Amino acid sequence: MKSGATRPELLSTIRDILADVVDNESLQLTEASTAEQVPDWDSINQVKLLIGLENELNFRFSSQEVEGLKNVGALIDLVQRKLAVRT
Amino acid sequence: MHSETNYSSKVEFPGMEAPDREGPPRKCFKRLADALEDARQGADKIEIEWRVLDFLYGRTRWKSVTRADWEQQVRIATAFDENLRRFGSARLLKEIADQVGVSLKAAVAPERTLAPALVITYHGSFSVTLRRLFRNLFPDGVAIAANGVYAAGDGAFALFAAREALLAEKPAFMAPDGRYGREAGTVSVLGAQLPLTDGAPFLAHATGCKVEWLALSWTGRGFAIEALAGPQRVAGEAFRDYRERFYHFYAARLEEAFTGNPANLPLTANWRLMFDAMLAGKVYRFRRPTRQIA
Repeated sequence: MKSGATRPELLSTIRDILADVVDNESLQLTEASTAEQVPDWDSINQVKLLIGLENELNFRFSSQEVEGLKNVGALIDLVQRKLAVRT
Repeated sequence: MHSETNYSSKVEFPGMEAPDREGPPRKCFKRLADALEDARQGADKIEIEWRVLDFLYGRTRWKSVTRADWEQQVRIATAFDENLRRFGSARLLKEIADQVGVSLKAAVAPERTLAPALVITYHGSFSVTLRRLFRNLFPDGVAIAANGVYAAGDGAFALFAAREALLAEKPAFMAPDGRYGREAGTVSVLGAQLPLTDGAPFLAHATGCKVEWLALSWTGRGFAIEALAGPQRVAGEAFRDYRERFYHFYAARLEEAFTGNPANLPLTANWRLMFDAMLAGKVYRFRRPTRQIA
């Protein structure tokens, strides 16, 4: 995925990975979504989501970067920053 | 953040974790001997359910110890553990580190060429003191704990930081019988059902790291480290299979601890309640969820 990936594209990528992690292909996700709203989105599955993004987008998060993410939109913000730095 | 000044203004012990304290400190122990003597004096005041004591004594491997002596040793161990946890000074921690530091380092990171381990222990056998030693001896490692390096408020962050450390060949520390994280099944410990998360086996499986069981044991004259290599992921092993091996190993260590030397059997509230619930035909479910993307 390129550095100029749009927010809808990133939301779709996050949705696909998370749907696989929580085993729910019909998962609906918005930028406002939080873990509390998604069944089975626990701490381990969040780490699996982050690892999935690392593998998909070919970068590594640091633990400081992933601390205190507020919602999916905040994760998209972070991914966009990572993609921008990579180029 | 606690200041070390109240505990020791003279002994420098970088990285010292502040003692767990509820309210203002009533005591401050600077020597192990003092903490132990105080525990001996206060052992009778420790509240432990009699049927839990009966149950555990019935399963002890220390058959040569009378019921009264066994119970007294458990009471002293429980009071001693609390003294170290709540009222231990930096000077006291250094005294313990002088006794076990070399063997602790050898167990966790034996050679520079070998990847350090995910250290697992349990909430007994002076586990908070062990965690403080770990933090001091491995300042670049990650200790996951409710009141430790990472608050339980962000479980995903704690797990991610531990994974990051292990991948960077730094050690990580956790006690899988803790209070936080979503229950993902139970394992039997002397018949009591211990609710577990998948956090520890997930970390070990995801990183392929070594696993090392550690416990801090009281020898009667000082502390020693008990270490045993745990299961490591083998190539191609599915998580479900690894998880089963991991918790089989963990439950065996717990059963060994609870049937072992009563001087190393401080009974924490969770374990007392877990055994008590089992004796009442129930399961004590104590786990609390952590926060992820809020």
